[in-house]
Amino acid sequence: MTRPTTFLLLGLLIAVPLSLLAGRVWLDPFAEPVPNALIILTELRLPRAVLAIVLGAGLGAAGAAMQGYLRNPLADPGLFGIAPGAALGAVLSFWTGLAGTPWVLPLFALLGAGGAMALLGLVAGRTGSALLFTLAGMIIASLAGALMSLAISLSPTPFAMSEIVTWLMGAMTDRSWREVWFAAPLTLLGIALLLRAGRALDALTLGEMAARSLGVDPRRLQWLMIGGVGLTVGAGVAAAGIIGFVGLIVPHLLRGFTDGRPSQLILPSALAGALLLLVADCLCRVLPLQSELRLGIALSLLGAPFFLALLLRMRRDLA
Amino acid sequence: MSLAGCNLHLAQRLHGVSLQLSQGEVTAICGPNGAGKSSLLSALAGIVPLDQGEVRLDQDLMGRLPLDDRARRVGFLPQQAELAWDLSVETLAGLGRLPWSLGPEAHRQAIDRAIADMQLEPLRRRPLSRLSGGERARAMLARVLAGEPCWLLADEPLANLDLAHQLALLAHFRKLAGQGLGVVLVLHDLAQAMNHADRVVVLKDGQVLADGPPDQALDEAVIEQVWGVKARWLGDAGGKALVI
Repeated sequence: MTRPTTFLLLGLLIAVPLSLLAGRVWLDPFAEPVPNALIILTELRLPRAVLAIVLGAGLGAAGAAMQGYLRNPLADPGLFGIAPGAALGAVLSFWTGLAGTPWVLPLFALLGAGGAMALLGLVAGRTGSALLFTLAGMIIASLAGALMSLAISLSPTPFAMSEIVTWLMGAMTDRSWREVWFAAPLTLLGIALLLRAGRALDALTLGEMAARSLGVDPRRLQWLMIGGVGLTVGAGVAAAGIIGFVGLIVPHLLRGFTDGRPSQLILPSALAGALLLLVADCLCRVLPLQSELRLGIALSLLGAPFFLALLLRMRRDLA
Repeated sequence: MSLAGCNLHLAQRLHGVSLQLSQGEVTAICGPNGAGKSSLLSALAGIVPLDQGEVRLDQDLMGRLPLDDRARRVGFLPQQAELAWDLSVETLAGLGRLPWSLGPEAHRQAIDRAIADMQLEPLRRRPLSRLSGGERARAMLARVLAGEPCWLLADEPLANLDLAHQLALLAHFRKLAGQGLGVVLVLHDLAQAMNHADRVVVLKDGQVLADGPPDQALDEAVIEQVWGVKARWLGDAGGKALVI
């Protein structure tokens, strides 16, 4: 096990129990037991912590793989248009008024993610070129964005509109074991696909031609990326809405601790993504605000300045 | 052991190129810009889909070989030395081992050998961003050599190198050919092709115009026909200079 992996595992081991205690109601193990402590712990805090770990791991791994695939430290899993596709699916479930029925929202979101993945494969799948792939992703993202705005502007009731807008901000509030049960297997499968792409991503460090000469099949790699990013990001959006920047920040922070090969970054990024989302969700919970800060907003507030700092540093390096 | 292309056609760049190369030789591919040199090299490496024709590696059809098998036998050094992440020399050389699935010991030995061959031992832990142009070029070549290929196909490996480094690298290609590797180089400098290759293939407009020992293939008449330049060779074999 590499050093960052060990440290991150240790971090998670410490953060998980702490996260179970933190919230509106603090559970102090050394004080008088709080009423309903067991229910708070097993039905509210634990599923929420597990979900944060699962989704964070998926986003971190997807970000590391995306940066390796596009050979760009500024790449983010959102670039492929899969997150907006999933969000569009979820928005349609609100729009049709079916979101209240159990399983409908995540199902719609997964269908949206699947649709975006299929479209990506159709548009760019034949050539295996990363540039075409990114452009196809951007087209899908803007199309899904436009359709979402259309759905919001045509929403049948003001209530549906406010639900859509709130949901899009991304949060772990009130998530239960149900979200964990569908998101965890999909995310784990997605991470497994991304790990399988590791060797090809390493070869891609040398450019597309050299990668081909090292035995990389660009189309197979593309399908692994569509599958891996689609499952991790699709499951994440279906369970918690859009949570950005994890996939951008985490691999970037960890790259210096690895030997630079993309394959070595996927697993540590999964662990660090899990840790980041777990801690961020805890902070959202304990901040003394009138209503709980949405996780998606919190991470964007954290991520945007980080992105800017990264860009400024790159500009300085280029100058 | 041979690498043979038969009637290769590739998207407006190659028009019916046929040639058979043997191991143990340094072959130079020369020609003006746009003649199809890089296309021919990538076609021989089996990394671009052909419109027509076939490439055979020994008796095997290149297109039918399992990708890893092909990658173990043919090492390819592209013209642009791209490196997306700032790897160390050692990690970079390790990428050459990707097609192999052997134990870590075999990998380490191959990497050590490639690094030693390229005289990069003192720099093995240094990131590529902190190397000079010549050291970088050697590190990129060490990556290909670490894969222990039977064929080395390099696209303008001497571009951006100073004279001393060019000569050192050419001497190394000669040594590799002596060890039995098939070395195929795209070269722009005709004097280098003349003095350092066993065989020269001259391309123009996607077709082979001359193919043979350097003094025949780079004959003054051929140079005028292909490059449109009247030039004369001066000096003796092994040390000839082109005077215009």
